[in-house]
Amino acid sequence: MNSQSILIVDDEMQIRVLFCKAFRAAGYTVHGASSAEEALRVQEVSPAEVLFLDLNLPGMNGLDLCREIRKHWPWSIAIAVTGYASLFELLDCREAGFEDYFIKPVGLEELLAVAKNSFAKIQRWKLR
Amino acid sequence: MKILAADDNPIELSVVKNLLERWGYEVLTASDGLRALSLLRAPEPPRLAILDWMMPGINGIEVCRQLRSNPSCRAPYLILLTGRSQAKDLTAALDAGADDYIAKPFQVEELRARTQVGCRLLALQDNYLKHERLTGVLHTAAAVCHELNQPLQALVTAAQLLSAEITQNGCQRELVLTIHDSASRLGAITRRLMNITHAESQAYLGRPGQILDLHRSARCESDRVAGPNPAHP
Repeated sequence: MNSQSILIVDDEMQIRVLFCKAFRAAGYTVHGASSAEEALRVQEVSPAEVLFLDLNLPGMNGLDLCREIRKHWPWSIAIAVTGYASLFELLDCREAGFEDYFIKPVGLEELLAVAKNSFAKIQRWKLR
Repeated sequence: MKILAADDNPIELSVVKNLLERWGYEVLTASDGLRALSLLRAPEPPRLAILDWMMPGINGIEVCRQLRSNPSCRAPYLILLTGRSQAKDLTAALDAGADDYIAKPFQVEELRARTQVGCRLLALQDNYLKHERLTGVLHTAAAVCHELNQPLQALVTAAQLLSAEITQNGCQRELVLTIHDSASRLGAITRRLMNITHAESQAYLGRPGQILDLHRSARCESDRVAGPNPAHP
C-alpha cells in the first residue's frame, strides 16, 4: 500500500464499498464516506488528494462539497461520478472545480486511470 | 371537431346546426339544458358548445356554472347565445363560466368567427397539455435513468472485481464477463435515454422542482394519465 490517499463519497453503500475495494486492490489508501458532511470530517483527519464524489448526496450536495474541498485542500483533485448527466450539470461541475466527470456506470479501468493521472498531476505541481 | 348546439327553439337550433355543419363541424344538438349538460358530461364530449341562455329545465348560464364547478373536469369552450345585450348580462355570462357571448339576432359571420376563435384556443390548450405531458414523461425517464445507473454501477464494478479474481479462463470467467457486458449495454441504453431527456441539473441537485424522487414522479405521472374522473377527460 502506498501513501496516495483516495476518498470515495457515495451514499449508495454497495458502490462505495466496491470502489473502495477496487482502489485498495490497486494499492491506494482509501476511505469512504456516505455524505458530504462525513467526507469533510474524514478529510480533517486523513486528507485525501484524489476524491471521487457522487453529486446527489443527502444534505450538502456533491457540487458544494467540491467547493469546500477546493477551498480547504486546494491541492486536491475532485472527480464527479454521477448517475444523471446533463449539459447544465457538466457546466456546474466545471464551475465548482471538478477536474473530471463520469457518468455511471463507469468502468474501473477509467477510474483507475484517472486516479493515476491525478496523482501524477499533483506530483508535478508539488515539484515546481 | 365535435360541437354541441343547444336551443329550445327548433328553428334557431336548426339554423345553427346547418351553419356549423356547412363549416365542417360535427354537430350534436340538445333542446334543453339538462340534455346539454348530459351530452357535455358524456365520454368523448363535444369540445365546444353554443348554448342558448333561455332554455327549459336549466338555462345556459346554469349549464356553464355546473360545468365550471368541477375544476378537475376539462370543460368545453362555452359560447352563450342570447337576446340579452346589456353589459350586466355579459358580465353574468362570463362570471358563470362562459368563454364568449353572441347577441341575438346574430350575424352568420360573427358566429363563424367566434366559433373559430374557440377552436383556435382549444388547439392551443391541447398543445400545452401535450407539451406538459411530454415534459412529465421526460422527467420521469431522467429519474429512471438515475435510479438504474446506480445498481448498474455496482454490477459493472462487482463483475470487474470478480473477473480479476478469476485468473483462469473458463466458464466462471465467461459468465462474469457476460454480466459485465450486459450491465455495460444497459448503461449505454440509459445514456441514450438521458440524451433525450431535458431535466435540469438545478432541479436534480436539490433546488426547487426536484426530478429525482422516482416514486413521486411515477405517482404524479400515473395520476396525470388516469385523471380525476375518466368519464370527463
